[in-house]
Amino acid sequence: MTPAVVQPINMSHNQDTSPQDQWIDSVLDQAEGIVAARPSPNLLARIEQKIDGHVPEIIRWANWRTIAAAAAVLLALNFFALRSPQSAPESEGQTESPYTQGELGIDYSLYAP
Amino acid sequence: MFLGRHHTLIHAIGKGDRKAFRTLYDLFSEQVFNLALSYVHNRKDAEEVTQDVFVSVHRNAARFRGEAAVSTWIYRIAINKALNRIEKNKRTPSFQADSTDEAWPIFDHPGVVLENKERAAYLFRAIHALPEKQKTAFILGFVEDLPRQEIADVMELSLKAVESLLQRAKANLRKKLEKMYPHRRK
Repeated sequence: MTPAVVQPINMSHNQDTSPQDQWIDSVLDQAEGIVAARPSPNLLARIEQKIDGHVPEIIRWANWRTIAAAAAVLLALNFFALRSPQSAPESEGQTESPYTQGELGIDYSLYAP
Repeated sequence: MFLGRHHTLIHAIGKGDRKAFRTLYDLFSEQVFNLALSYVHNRKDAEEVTQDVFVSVHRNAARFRGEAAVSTWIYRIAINKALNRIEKNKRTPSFQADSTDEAWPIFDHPGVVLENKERAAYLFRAIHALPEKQKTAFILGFVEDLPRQEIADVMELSLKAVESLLQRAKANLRKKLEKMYPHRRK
């Protein structure tokens, strides 16, 4: 941190020295009289405990490479499976789908009683 | 300037260097703790805020881009965590309710000597009642004694805006203290 520059609050109303204003000035002066406090010596240990209990969000580079390689293999397998002529199911001998036959919705009254 | 050193520490923390984290803690824990005390006014809550700040620093170190000074970044985290703690505390019975039904924290500031405790409690109670930005500007400027430029950096405001906030904070504090004056005629 940069060194502190003392900047007085300087809020006193010099002309008006009523007991109330004197009291307010004395209260405001408290801002400058606070001594730096230290946290408990075991706070760092508590923080480290909390950090260790936290699952790291960062995935290691080696893991990323494995994930990328697995994804590439899956993509390649899918690509070849789609390109392979055997992957297309034979339609011969199979009952034609009602959708392709045009049986359904021919009169556009699918839901009619 | 320790700017380079601080950035190196954050970079090392981002890579999991625990020694760097401890060094950063040694450098900033006191400032963070005292800043938290100015908001929450008691040791227990200030330590919890400090804990949250350093856990957050550890988690986000790898994402720190170094656009601001490390101290500015830590101050921003600390202010956010302290304000979150105040919001959380408002929903718990550990807060006292005064005559105006305005919740305010129990005052147990370890940096205030016993003879000044009563007046300091009035001051912090008045600070607590300020609007958020005025409160932050006043705490950073007059309690933490930060230079105006650093306040502007932390609050992401212009110097002129900071000066304006400080003037309004001072005027509002006087008004609030007038109402708290113990010998005030009803």
